[in-house]
Amino acid sequence: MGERRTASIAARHLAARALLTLCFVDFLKKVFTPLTGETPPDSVPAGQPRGWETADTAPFHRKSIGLGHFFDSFPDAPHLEILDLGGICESNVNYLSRMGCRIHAFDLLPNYDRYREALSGRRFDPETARQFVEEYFQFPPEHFHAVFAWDCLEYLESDVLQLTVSRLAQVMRPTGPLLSFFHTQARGEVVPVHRYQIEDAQTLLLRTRQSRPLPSTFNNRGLERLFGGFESIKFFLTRDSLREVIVLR
Amino acid sequence: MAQIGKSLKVRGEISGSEDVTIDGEVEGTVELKDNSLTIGPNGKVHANVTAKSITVLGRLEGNVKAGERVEISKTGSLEGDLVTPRIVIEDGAVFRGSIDILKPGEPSGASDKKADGRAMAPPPKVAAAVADSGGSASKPGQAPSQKA
Repeated sequence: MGERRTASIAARHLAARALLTLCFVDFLKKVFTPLTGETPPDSVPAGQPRGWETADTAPFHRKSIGLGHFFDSFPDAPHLEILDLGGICESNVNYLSRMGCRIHAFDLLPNYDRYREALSGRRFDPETARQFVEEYFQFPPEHFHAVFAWDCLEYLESDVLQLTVSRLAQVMRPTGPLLSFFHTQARGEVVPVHRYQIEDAQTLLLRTRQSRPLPSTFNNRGLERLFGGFESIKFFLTRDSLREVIVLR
Repeated sequence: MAQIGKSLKVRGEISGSEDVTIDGEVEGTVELKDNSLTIGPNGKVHANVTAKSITVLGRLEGNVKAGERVEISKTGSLEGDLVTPRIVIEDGAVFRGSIDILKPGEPSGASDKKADGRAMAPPPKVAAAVADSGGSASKPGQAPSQKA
C-alpha cells in the first residue's frame, strides 16, 4: 500500500515536471520570436485542403454591422461579379445568387498553407510570394464589384499580404467594397479561423475551422497603411475582439 | 448506365443518351445533355462537361454546364466555371472557379456574358488526342479552359 502511494506521488511529480517543461519551452519560443513582428513559419500548422479543418465545435451566430455596411456599398447594377476568398459555401452561393451575383470562390488559406509546406519552414521569399499571388489571383483588371476577404488576410506573411492587397486593388472595380476581419489580439496569440456563412444582411453563422497564431498585430494605423491603395477605409470594432474593415477601391 | 472503370484512361469526346459513371480518368469533353454524370471517388476528369445533373465525388477540372443541378460531395473537388440552376455543396468540398446560378426560365447562354456585356472567351482548343487504353471514347476532343 505504501509502495503504491509512493509510486503515485512519483508519477504526479513527473507529470508536473513535464508540464512545467512544456510551459518553459513555450515561454522561450515567445521570448525569442524574431523582432520583425511575425512568428516563425513552422509554428503554423501545416495544411492540406483535406484534413485542414481540425476544429469540431458547434457553429454560432454573430451580428455584423460591417456586413450590413458592406452590402450597402454594393453597386446598384445587375450581374455583379463577387470574389470570395473563404472557400465555397452553398448558403453564400444561394444568398448572393438571389441578388443576381456571379460568385468566384476559392479557399485562400489551405492553398497558402500548401505553398508554405513546400517551403519547408522557410519564409516566403519575394519570388515565391509573387508566384502564389499570380497563381491564385489571375483575374482581369477591374473585374470584381466586391470582395469577401473574411479573416483570410490576417494570416498571410507580410510579403504575401502586401502583394495580395495590391493585386486585389487591381482586380476590383473603382468604388467596389472589400470586407475583411482582423483580430485585435497581439501577434503570436492563437485565434480561431472561421468559415463565414451569410444568414442575412447583418448576420453571419460562424463555423470554427482551426486555430492558429497571428503572424502580425494589426491596429488602425497599420491597416490604413496596408490598404493605402484604396479610396477609403471604415473600421467597426466588435466585442469579440474583431475589427471589421471595409475598404472602397 | 455506362461506367468507365478505375483502370481506364480515356482521351476524347464522350457523348450519349444514358447516365455515365466515371471511376477512371477522362480527358476531353463529356456531353450528356439529358442524362446524369457521376464522377466517382477515384474518378479524375479533365474535361468540359455538359449534362442534366453532375455529381462530383472525385476530381473534375473543366467548365461545367448542368441542366438541373450540380452536387459536390465532401470528397469532391471541382475547378472550373459552373453554370447551373441549382447547386449542392457538402461541407469539405473543394472548389475553385466561378458559379453562375441560372434563374428559372433563364437560358444558359445568358450566363456566357460577363457583367459588362462582353462575351466570355471560349475554352482554348488543344491538338486532337487519340483515345487509348482500350477506353470507349474514340473521337478527339477539346481540353478544358485554363483556370487562374
